Amino acid sequence: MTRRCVGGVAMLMLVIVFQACRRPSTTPEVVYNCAANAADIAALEREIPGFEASTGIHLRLNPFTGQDKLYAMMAAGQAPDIFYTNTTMRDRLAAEGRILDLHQVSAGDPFVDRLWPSVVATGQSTDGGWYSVGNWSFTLGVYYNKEMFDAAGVPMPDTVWTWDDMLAAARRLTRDADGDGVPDTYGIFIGSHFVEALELMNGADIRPRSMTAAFGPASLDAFSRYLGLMQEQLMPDPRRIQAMGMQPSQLLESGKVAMLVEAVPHQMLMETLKIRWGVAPLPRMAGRPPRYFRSASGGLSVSATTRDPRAAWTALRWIIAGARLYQPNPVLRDVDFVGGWEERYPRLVGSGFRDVWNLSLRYDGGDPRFFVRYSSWTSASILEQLQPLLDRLWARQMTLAAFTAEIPSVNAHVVRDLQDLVHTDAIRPLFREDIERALKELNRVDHQ
Amino acid sequence: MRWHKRGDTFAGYAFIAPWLAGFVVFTLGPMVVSFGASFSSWTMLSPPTWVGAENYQRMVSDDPLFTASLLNTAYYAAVSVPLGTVLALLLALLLHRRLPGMGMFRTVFFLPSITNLVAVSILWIWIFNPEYGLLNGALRLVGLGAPLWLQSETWAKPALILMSLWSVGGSMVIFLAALQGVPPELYEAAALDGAGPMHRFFAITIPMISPAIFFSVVVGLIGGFQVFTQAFVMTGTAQPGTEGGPNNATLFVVLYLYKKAFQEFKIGYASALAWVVFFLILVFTQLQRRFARKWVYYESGEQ
Repeated sequence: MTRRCVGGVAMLMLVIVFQACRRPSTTPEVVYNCAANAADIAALEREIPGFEASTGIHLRLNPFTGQDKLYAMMAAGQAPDIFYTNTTMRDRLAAEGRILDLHQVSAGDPFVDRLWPSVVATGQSTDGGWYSVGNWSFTLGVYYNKEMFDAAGVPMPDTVWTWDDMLAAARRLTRDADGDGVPDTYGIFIGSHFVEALELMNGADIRPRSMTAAFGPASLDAFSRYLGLMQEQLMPDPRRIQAMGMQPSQLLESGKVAMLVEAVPHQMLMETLKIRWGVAPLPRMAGRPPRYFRSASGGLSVSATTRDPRAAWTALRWIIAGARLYQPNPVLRDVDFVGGWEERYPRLVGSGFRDVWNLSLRYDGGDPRFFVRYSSWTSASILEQLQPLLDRLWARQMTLAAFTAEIPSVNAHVVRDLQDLVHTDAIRPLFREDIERALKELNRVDHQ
Repeated sequence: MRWHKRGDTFAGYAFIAPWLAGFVVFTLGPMVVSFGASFSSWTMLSPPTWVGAENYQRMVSDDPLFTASLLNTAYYAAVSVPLGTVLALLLALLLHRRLPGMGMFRTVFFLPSITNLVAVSILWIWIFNPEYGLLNGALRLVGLGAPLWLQSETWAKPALILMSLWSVGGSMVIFLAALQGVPPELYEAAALDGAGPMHRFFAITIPMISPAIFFSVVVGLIGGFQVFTQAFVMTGTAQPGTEGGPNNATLFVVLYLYKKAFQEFKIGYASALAWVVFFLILVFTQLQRRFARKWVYYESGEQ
């Protein structure tokens, strides 16, 4: 018995020693933190052998979602080589030297020219480094139920329709069949997270990565128009829609709303809508030049701990331009994005999708969403204070004047957070200077 | 003899060693680290910087959200614990009767308390659905208004309290066990002395099961101060980062701590929050222990 035990332990030791002495594999391995979506993972896994055969790089998927897990892995020195970052976390990680400057990694690669210049520009940070490649893009549009338009005798929206045209249509489409004072069908629904697109259309001066919260007259006017939709009962209370948990397609298909602002393209809508529908661009505000929303906030970054940056770049390039799962990819200039989607979803032909997309290319207004709008240094403290105010504003428990009056107190929190950051040793000099500059500016404004 | 005792001690430690190792590595260790971290500014990625008691000072003097979260938590605990205790006691009294099928009823009432809280939360999101939910459906039937529940600043906290009552099965089982331990002769003697049912309940039942009530209140209050899952799941489904809404109505202390630690990565501040919650729970538990001497009856006379 004892002899057997000793033999077993000796064998185990031998295996451990053998494993430890084995030469590391010469095949470079790249770990990609893809989204934890079973269908996507299966699709990628089918394609990876082809990539590996053509490049000699072993690509391993590490699917998970959540910034907290990514940070924990980084803290443990086990970050994936390629992972998704949004503007907020990207700048922070860049400031702490946790992600690579892709200008250096991709030096001399003609692939960079295939990307839209805005994709490269939005991936850059304060120090001029390029820290993420946008891997997807979308615009916003108004999906509408053609059957309801026909039934009400309302002309379909076109590419130059205005806010007033939209209001006129919404008024004719809103119905209170049972006469209880609450409409059964609303003309339109715009989620409160899309209000920024209205600000943009209204000519608001939204500076990406602003250090403070600021809402000029154009933004406040857009807020007022949005609130007006609720006041006039042309749009349901967003809180009610949120509480109902209805998907966009259900909202449109059930006849609850006749028009709906959503992302274009929207895969789920394409796949689930059974009604006759079309999509129009966001209505223009009279007297304002068109500026359409164009998302450009997120992208793929390469960890600074990657063993083989060149291999990581090759894999990243393949994910964006090679993997069929992500094709046709709108971040590439030489790809017929609209044609590719129309081929995949023939229902898109003649739906207005092509016009909406082309307008967003021509009048690219950028991405004004909160996490792009505010600097990574201040976004958390701004949103922590701002979100409750917006909750009250959209619930019509606060006037626009009261909302505006609260903004200085929101910005007061920003100063405190920035002062903390300046003392953080891990931040690289160029980024620190950026924070110091902002602090000086804020103090100057404060003294005035 | 002495050698024998030493051997027993060694064996005892050897037997508890796996648990002890787990406790040191997974409980005591993190507690010590978090205590140290509470005096630092730490983003998890960069090394912590010593800031002394600044996190604690800021919490008290310059963080309205901490105050708001504390008030929300106090409101939740102050309403849900007494309500839950009374409901559990009423259920236990009902299920204490000797009637056919009582075992099944006991199981039915106990089941929700062992169901996964995330699953329960998702179920309750549907119950609270303002348009199609069961609750508003019932309210409409009796001609009452249909609130927005989780989307209403006024109704969000009551909604979570209402939901917490669904899981009183755990306390109910404890009360049931305690009721079964009350000697029947006490009731017989009281009945002979002319005591009515209410008098018997307050003079015999309550004092005799008071240790169980005390235990249930202490555990309930600790749970009340740690409320997190339902607020996280039920108020953050629309958009990540909006947990605790609307207008911070459901921002409880532990949820606030989570947001500071794992959304903003302010580990130092979050650790300080954790220690404040720990001390609050400790103080409230000690206060309850002190007051318990006045109303909890132990047959053995021990406290």
